[in-house]
Amino acid sequence: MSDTSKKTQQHLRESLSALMDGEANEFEMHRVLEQIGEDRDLRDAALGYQRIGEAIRHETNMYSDIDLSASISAAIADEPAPEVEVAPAAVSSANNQRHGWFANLGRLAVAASVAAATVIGVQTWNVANRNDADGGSAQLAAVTAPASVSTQVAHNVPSGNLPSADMFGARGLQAGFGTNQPGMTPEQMNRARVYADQIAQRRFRAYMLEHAEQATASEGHGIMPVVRAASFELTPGASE
Amino acid sequence: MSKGKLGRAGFTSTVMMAVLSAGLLLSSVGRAAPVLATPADWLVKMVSAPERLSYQGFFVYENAAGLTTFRVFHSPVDKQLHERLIYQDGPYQEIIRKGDQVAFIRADGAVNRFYSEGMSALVDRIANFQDDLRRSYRLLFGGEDRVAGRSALRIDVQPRDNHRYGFALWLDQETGFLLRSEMLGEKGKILERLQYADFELVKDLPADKLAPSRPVTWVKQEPSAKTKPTVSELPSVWDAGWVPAGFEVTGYKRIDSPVSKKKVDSVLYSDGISAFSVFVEEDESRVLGPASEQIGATSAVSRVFRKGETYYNVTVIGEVPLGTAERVAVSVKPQGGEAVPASK
Repeated sequence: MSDTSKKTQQHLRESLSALMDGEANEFEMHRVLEQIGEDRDLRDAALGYQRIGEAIRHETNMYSDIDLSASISAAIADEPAPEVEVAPAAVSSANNQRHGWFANLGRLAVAASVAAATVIGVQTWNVANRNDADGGSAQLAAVTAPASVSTQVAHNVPSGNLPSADMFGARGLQAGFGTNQPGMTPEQMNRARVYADQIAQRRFRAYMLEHAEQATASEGHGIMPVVRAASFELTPGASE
Repeated sequence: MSKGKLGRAGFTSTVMMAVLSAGLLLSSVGRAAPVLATPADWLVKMVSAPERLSYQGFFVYENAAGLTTFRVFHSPVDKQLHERLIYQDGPYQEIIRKGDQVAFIRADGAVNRFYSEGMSALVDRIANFQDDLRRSYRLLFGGEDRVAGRSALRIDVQPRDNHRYGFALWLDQETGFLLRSEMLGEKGKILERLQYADFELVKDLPADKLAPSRPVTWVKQEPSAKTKPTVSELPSVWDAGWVPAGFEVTGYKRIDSPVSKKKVDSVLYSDGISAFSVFVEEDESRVLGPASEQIGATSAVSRVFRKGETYYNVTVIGEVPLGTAERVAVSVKPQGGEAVPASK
């Protein structure tokens, strides 16, 4: 019995990790949503996880005050939860490697995340490029679900996928950090990438407003670009 | 436009006659519609509509983030566009536009001002508008329809390559005003939609309808160069090596970075309908990596480059496919030298 619950606990944390990475499948999402309202440890883990990003940059950020458990509790109110015991094969070995929430995290980790993000970014382009050529859409799934890429990075940098200089006129980042960071575990890579993604998201929203403003001034669409950008703001009430 | 000027300049019967006959001529021709023979003619009329019309109404805007209803008041005042959008759903928010300046009044009372500096005017572009459009898009009549209780004409704007999205536009038959618009992605998937539910032309819009509900301190706008920037005026530190055919620089400015204390160079590219911006900013953080994100119809891509000891963050954001934005981003490089991939 206690063995089972320990196992469940671990699964839950892995699922939470996946959820916060945006890589959770529907089953994992439901599992976390169902449990987090009752499981204090899980809730603490989620909040602590968010605060690490803040600590790294030595500043408070817009994520640090979000009470995840409250919004999730609200979310599960009308969500039918699936059976917890039925673990589909999709909860893969990649997820099983995620554990240890508060392992050492430092600048190296964040730097390493650059490598992971590079691989994903480059992949996205390659996929889009293939579609251009083939007109096929079978590969599109990879764009929206780049899951588990980062876990491979630490072991095996797929530098062969990087664009060559003559393809683009300039080279993107070399994904060389993974090999230069001994002791970097896949889950550290994973977490580091999440922080990098959050920073990137913030920047993108800010730049999106700038772009909207420029487009408003020069396009025939009037004020619509501003409406568009405003609709995707992360926290509509926030201002700098 | 000249009508108003004439009326004010001299109120003689001769002028009156001229104005009247010109007006009659325009309206009769407009009804019979032989003058606006092509879809491109209609799009030109559409683009000029906001400068000609005062109106109020309601529209819905839908994208990946959801659906929002707006109330709108619009009037050209002293050759400046004045517009007020009021969010009808969720917390009370307003967007106020006064000429090139935009203020966003938020739910918590905060007022964000956006300030354009040295943007090129649309006027400059409108001369080439038709040709520019035809180079990048196929323009087709899509038949008659009805939007917001008004007769509308549908125009299909189909991209000629994979580097831009398509549009279906519904124009008011009477005024050319854009009553409904759909942005179409791959395989005709609708990426965003704008549609008026109520549209009413008004002669004189009361000033208070256009006034913000909270005081907005407008930045005094310096009249700056309204010319199209030439290549030599572009930031000297970098080049965009590749942009899709048909996209041209339509604006350049150097602004305070929205994300750091640095200045950021930003260049706007447009093909007449779609636009993307390229931002180049010195990166101090040293923790930023390349990233890509699809935000509704907007693609966002950033890359880090190194020039000497300085790291630069290149961000491309706009309503183009993600692959296109990626390709533009990686093509940006410091001038007079190969971009050195940033590694630490």
